[in-house]
This record gives sequence, structure tokens and C-alpha cells, in this order.
Amino acid sequence: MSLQPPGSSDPSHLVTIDLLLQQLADGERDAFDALLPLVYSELHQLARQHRRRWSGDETLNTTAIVHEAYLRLAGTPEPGWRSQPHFMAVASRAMRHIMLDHARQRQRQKRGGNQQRIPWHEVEEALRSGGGPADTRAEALIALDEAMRRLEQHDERQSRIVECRFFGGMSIPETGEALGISPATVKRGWAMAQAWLHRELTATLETG
Amino acid sequence: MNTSRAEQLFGDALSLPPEDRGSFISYACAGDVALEAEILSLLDHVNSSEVLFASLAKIVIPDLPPPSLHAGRFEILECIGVGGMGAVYRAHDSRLERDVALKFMPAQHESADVDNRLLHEARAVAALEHPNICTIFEIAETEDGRSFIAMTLYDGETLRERLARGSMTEADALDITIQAARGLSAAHAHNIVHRDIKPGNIMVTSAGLVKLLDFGLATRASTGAREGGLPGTIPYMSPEQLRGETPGTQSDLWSLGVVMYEMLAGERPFAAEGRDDCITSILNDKPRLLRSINRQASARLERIVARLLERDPNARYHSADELLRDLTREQAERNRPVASPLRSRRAPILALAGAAAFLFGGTSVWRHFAPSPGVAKSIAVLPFLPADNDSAQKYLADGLRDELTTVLSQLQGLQVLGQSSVARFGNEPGDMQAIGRALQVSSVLTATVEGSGDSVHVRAALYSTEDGSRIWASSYQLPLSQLVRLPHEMASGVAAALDAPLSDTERAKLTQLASANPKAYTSWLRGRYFWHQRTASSYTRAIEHFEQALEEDSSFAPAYAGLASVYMQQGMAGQLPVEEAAALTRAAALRAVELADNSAEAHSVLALYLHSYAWDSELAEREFRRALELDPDQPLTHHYYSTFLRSLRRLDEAIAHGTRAVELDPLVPGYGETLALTLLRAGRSNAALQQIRSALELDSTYWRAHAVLGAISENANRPDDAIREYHRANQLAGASAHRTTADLARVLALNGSEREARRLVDTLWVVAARSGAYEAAAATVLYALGDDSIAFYWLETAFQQKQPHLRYLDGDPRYEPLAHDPRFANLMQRVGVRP
Repeated sequence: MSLQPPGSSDPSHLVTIDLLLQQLADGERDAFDALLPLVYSELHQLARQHRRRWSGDETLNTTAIVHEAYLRLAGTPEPGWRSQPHFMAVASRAMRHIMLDHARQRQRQKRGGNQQRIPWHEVEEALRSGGGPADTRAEALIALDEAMRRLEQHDERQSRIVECRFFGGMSIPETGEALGISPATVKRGWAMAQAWLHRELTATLETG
Repeated sequence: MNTSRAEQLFGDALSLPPEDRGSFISYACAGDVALEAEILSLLDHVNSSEVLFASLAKIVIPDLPPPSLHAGRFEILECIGVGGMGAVYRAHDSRLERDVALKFMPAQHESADVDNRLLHEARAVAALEHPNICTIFEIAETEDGRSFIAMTLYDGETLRERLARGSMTEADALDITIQAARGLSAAHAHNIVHRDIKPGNIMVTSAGLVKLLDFGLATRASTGAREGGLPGTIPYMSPEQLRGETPGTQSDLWSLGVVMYEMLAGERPFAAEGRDDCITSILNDKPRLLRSINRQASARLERIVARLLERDPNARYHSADELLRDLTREQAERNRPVASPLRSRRAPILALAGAAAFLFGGTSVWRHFAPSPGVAKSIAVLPFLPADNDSAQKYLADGLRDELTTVLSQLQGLQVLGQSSVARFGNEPGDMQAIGRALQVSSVLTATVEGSGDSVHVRAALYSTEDGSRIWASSYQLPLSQLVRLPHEMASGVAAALDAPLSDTERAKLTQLASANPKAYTSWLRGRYFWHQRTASSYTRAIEHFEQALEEDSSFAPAYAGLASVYMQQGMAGQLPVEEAAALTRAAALRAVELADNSAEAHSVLALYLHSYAWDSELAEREFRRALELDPDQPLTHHYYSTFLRSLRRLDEAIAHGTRAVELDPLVPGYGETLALTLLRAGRSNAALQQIRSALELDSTYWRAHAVLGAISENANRPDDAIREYHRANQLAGASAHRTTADLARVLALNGSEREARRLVDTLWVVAARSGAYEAAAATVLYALGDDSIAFYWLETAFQQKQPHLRYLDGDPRYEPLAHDPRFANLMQRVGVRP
């Protein structure tokens, strides 16, 4: 089916989402790159619209938004529908970008571009006691993203698992389906990636 | 380094107990020092990384731990709270079409034993049915194996939120403590210890009911709190709990003492900052005297709190029951009218009414009102006025009023009365005084109901009949889906204004209804509206609505009771074959009783079934007695019981109960009509006429009232009037006309119109052939026509079918001519209404 991405009148954006998803399933990496901007703009718009509904302004109910984005992109309003596993993986990555954009934007506003970092143990302590001030939370997301980039280099599959589980709000079986791996692999990878990221965060940022 | 090998070994190590992981890794790495060091280093980060991601997830994803949108048959809608116990979500139960709260157990590395024990305990609590314990629907697992608990989604706030809003009155604090102690008493009786009593686990619903949350789940929560290094629930923990002993029931009492202290003093007894200081303080300090903080605190409450906060568990109250004795004695003292007649009791209820108004975004005004001494507190509820006259608005207005009347009649010390003449009065202040004089009530409630789209707007006002002044007024605007709570909220407002508090059992009753699925409740209201119309087509519609209510909530007992009543009527009216009506009625009535054994309505429906269809008067009367014990003010019970008594020719009792039914619910024409007929049987035709006129004032098109008018005319020997009224009833009844067809035919036969009578009686055979009903009624016509053998033949046929009508023939003047025949006496004996 054809669609016009929201917020764009450029006819070159007319694509066939089903086709792209099919190509993605067949292992064509280009399909992913074609999908991502599409999904990103849709999710971004949804995220803006939904902001009022969230309990806190950084709080994204990602699963709900991802599902809604797929409904809109695929144009299938049927109830009881479940999103394509591959779409979920794309959307999770898009979600990661949206959250990061949002965090960077906030950071710029709060600190006027001042690059001074908060020591990581303070960030972690603030998070543990319920979130802390908004810029601490933004700080945490930015730091996480930097660590994620390094994880991507180290073990790409684990970074995708984190995207699905953490940014996409997906369950272990859902993640397995989206990435085409077994739930047991997801579970191991998820546990190890979390430990790896934590080590990375504490090691590189502890001194501030 | 081979990352997938590292991942494999890392995963394997995680599945082992922590103490075995190191030796496993060094064995498995077989000398690969780099790999061994890498895995060991990562393992060091496992626990803290989980804590980190859990906290990170809180800022980006409220779905913590990230669930899919579905958990079993529950669709997760939003996160409504994250606490030490894990995340709580509002979810929709697709099967029962209601919203519930889902609580996920936090994922932690604990042994399966601990998991099983927790689940076992949660299941034990789920089996506890107590109004002060949160109702757990089920405990289940998601696809990926996370356990969750589905429980009632209460509308209200936790005591923690309540305390954050500001101080509370002693009476409120006492009330909450009593209710919490009741919940504990029920749990302790089953050897279930809560372990984590604290304001955050005490829910106060908008109806003022206390619900204890999170029973027996505390072990997990407290370990989590310690790992996080936060005090969490330490300020409420008992000394023995802090020392690591297994907390017993006494420990819960300590925690309740801390909560009670906090409510009364506005601060915690052990308020030291920091975990360690707090623990030291609990283990060593004596809390400040309540009265040193709150000079108004009562000495008796101070003593109760002190006994709860005894460091030695054995010096505390021995049980929640023992505590309750002191608490309720204290409450009774306060409620004794001598001490301070109005003020003492009003405070908590007013607070409740205020909270309700706040919740609904409504507004309330309230004026000091003291009823004149000697005048009992009494109220007449005028018919609610629908904004539009369409039937949807009308059923809404009628249904709300019915429900409010029922709720009000459960208030202590408040007489809810009215007479059919209520309908004659308007809503002007001058009228209020007139109503007061006519009905001998001290107050009158009026309301307008406006429904638009999916919301309802109700404006209610309460007037004093002494001077016509307004005592209280409130405006409620709420979505239709919340309608179920409205009568209770209104009743709370009225109760506050009239100083008529809810008793605990009444509260419990109210919750039962208030926790009902709103859609089910709305359908049930509609069903009840149509049921009381009492025509063939309205019965069909009533059933549709009751069934709809059950689709919404398959355990909604009132809908089963309603279905039973309607099936019973359908069997009598020939809409259903007797056997089928009997089976359906029986099943529905039993189900209603099974679901709500404390419902008077359920027992009285079952009682009338036993009498009419099972032909067992003894069992029936036992059920009626039980219904009256459960609720002496349930109008339907009195109405059914009156019908039962009349059929056994116990006319004085029948009149007493019939009168009570009309008093309790003057707006159901059927109650007045039944009473009129009983009065007529007792030879009080004037009273009967007056009663039937009132019923007709309510609804001039009520066909059964015209039939009774016919009977009254017949009794007064005015056959022409009788023919006219029976004819009118016949026209109005439409498809349910058969009963009056027989009456009409009989009077015609007795007055020389034999041909017309025979024509009419032929139409009855058609019905009789289809459903078996009306052979008995036809028999009266045939007897009047001189065909006595055929008449008795039909009565015998009716007997073989076990027609419920036969239970009601004895003493009915229409059968009087047959009663002289010995065959009739013999039949009545076999039917069981004569010894």
C-alpha cells in the first residue's frame, strides 16, 4: 500500500511500507535505512502529540506509540492487530533517536550549551531515588547513548537487543521475533548488554 | 575475544547461584585469562545494572519492567504508579469489560521457592473476601513469565496521599483505623500476616471505604528497599521485624499503631532521617506523647496508640479483635448523642461528602441543619426530573432515584418514606412545607437529571419541610461510565446534611454495588425499568438488558435476581411454557444467591420461586425470613412476601408487608396495585380504591391497575363499570392481555353476554395450547357459563402442568363460585395451599 508520510508533501516519500518490511525480512540492509526516516518522522510527530498524555514530560509510553505509528503508516485500523516484528525493531531504533534528540534539546535549554558533566554516580543515585531533576535525567540518556554507540562497535546484536527491550518497550519473545533470534539468546544478550553498559558508564564517567 | 562465547558463558553463570559463579567461570574458560577476567568483571555489574535500567526505564518508559501491551486477557492502558513493589498499571479486562489494576512482581533473582511462597500467599489473600481487603481477581503470568496480580481498580487515594494533603480529624483517623483493623482481623484469622502496613498500602476509596493492599508481599519489597539503600517502609516496621525475626500478627498491629499515630499527630512517631537513625530510634526511643503534639488528642486514643507501640510484642494488644473492641467502644462513646449531639458525628461524613464533591468536580453547599427535637429524621425522595422526556432520560432518572432511595433506606436513623401522593407535589419551596405536612417528613430531596452523550449532570437539593429552606445542594457531573457511584455519593451528601451516618454493614453493602462494572450496572438499571412496566414486550426488553449486564459482568448478582423475577412473570403470563420458566427462574435465582448470599433481593426472588413453581411454601417462607433479616427495608422483599402471604390467605400480614413495600418505594405502581388487591380481599374496598388511585396517578396507563379497578367494581356489584375497566386493561395490556381477557369474559358470561364470553374464551385456548397458561382463568369463565365439568377438566390440566397460577386461586373472589364445589377443595389440598 502507498502512503504519504505525515508532515511531508514530497511525492518521493511515497513508498510501500509492506514492501520495505518484506525486503528487510529478506535481509536487505538498505530497506532499513529507507524505513528509518519514515518511521522516525511518524513517531516524532506522535510523540509530540502524545506529550500531553504522558505522566511526566520525558515519559514516553513507547510501546503504545510504536503500535500507533505502525497503524498509521500501514493504514490498517483493524483492532487486535499486532505490528510486524521487523517494524518493531526499526521503530525501537527510531525511538532511541527521538528520546536522545529530546534529551539533547533539554540539555541545551537547561545549560545553555555548557558541557560540564555531572558525575555518573550522582546521576545514578538521582535516578534510583525516583528520577531527580530533568537535566539529570537528560544527562543519563545522553550518557547511555554514548555507551550504546560503543556497544554497537563491540557487539551489534546486543545493541539491537537493548534498543528493542529498552527503547521499544518490547518483551523478550517480541525482541526475539523482531531480530530473528531465539528468546534464550535475547535473554542472555540483554543481561550481558546491561552489565556491559553499566560498566562502561561507571568506568568512563565516574570522575565526571 | 569471542563475544558470543563470552555471552554463552555469562548466561550460564547467571543461572547458577552467585557463590558458584566464580569457580564455574574459571573452569569453563580453561586458562583463557582475558575471557575469564572479562566475564567476572561483567558479572560484578549484574545487580547494579538491573537497578540502573529499572530506574532508567522509569524515566523513558513507564512500562516497567517493559511489558507488551497485553498481559493475558488484559490490555494495558497506562502506568498508574511505580513503587517498591513494582509497577501498577490500569488495564482493561477484555472478557469482563471492566478496568482493573495490574501489579507486576518486580523481577529479582530470588529462588523459585520464594516466588512460589509469595504466589501461594497472594492466592490465600485472593480467597479472603472482606470489604476492607483489596479484592484480587486473579494471579497470572505473562507470556514471558512475569507474574502479575489483577485486582480491583479503586477510585480513591492512598492514605499516604491523603496525609500529604493535610491533617485529618480524630473521627476520620479512628474510622480508618477501625476499618484497617477489621481487614487485619480477617487476614489474621487465616494466619495471613500483612508485614508492610503503611499509609501507601491503605487505600481510602471515594466512598470512604478502607482497603488494605499488598498483603503478604512485603518480603520482596523490603529486600528491594534495602538493596536500594533507601528507608522505604522502615519507619513502619516493628522492632522484631527490624531485628530480622519473622513478623507475626503482632507486628502488623505495631505498624497500624505507627499509622494511627501519624494520622492523629500529623507526623510519624519515629521520624529520624536516614535508615540507620530510624532503625535505632524504633529499637530504642519512646515516641513523643500524642498530646504534646496535638493538644486536642483524646486520652483514650493516646492509650490505644501506646498499647500498639509497645516494643515487646506480648505487651501489645493480643489480636486485632481485641484492638477493635477498644476502637469501636471509643467510636460509640463519640457517637453518643449526649456528649455533643451533632458535631461529633458530622465531621467524618462531611469530609467524605466533600471528598466526593471534589472528585466529581461537583459543587456542594451545605447549611447547618438541626432537625427539630422530637421530629424523626425522615426524607421523601421526589421523582427525579429528566431534562428531556425521552425514554432513555426517563429510565435514567427513575433508575437513579430508585437506587438512591434504596441506598438512603439503608442509612441509620433515617426514615425514607413517601406515599404515592408524592407525585402530586411540585418542586417549589412552598410545596416542600405541604409535602412535610402531608407525608410527615422532615426533609425532601429533589433532583434533575440531564444526560447528554456519555455524561450525566445531576443537580440535587435537599429542603427542610419546616420552613421550606434549602439544607443542602450539590451538582454532579460525571461520565456515564461512573454512574454506578452516583447514588452512593448522593447518599453520602444527604447523610452528611442530615447527620445520618452509614453503618459498617451498610458500607459493605454499598461497596458491593459500587464496585460493580458501570456498564453492567447501567444495563441493569434499564432492565429494572422495563421489568416494572410489566407487559409482555417490556419483559422481553428487560431480559435483553439484564443479559447485557451479565455480558459485561458475569458475576453481577442483581442482574440474575432481575432475570429470575422476569422469567417468573413470563411463566405466569404465558410467555414461556411453565417448565421452561421454572427451570430458568430457578437457575437465575440460585445463581443470584450464590453470588450474593447477603442480598435480600436474591433471597426473596428465590422465595417466590419456591412458592410459585416449586410449590414449597415452607422453604419459601424461610427464604423470605432470611431476606427480611438481611435487609428489613428492601421494598421488593415486602412486595413478594405480601403476595405470598395473600395466597395463603394470611391477609393481615399481607397488608402489613404490602403497605411497607409501598412506603419504601412509592413509585412502583405494581406495589400499590398488589396492595390494593389484598385490601379488596380483606373487604376494605375503600382503602383498595384509594390505593389503586394512587397507583394510577403514577401511571394512568398501567394496565394491571385498571384490572384491579375492574375487580373493585365487580365487588361493588357494578358490572358495567367492571366491564369498562377490564376492557381498558385489556386494551392497554396489548400482548399480555390474556389475564384480563378471562376477567372480561367471566363478567360478560355472568351478565348474559354468553356469545361474547365464549368468543373470548376461545382466544384463551390459543394461548393455553401454546404455553399452558390460563387454563385456570378460562375455567372461571366456563364455570360461569355452566360448563362446570369442562372447567374442572381444565383446572386438572393446569394441575398436571404444575401451573404457578394454581397457588394463587384460594381466596380469589373470581374462583369463589367454584370454591363451593368439593372438587375445588380437593384441588387446593393437592396444590398445597390448604392443609
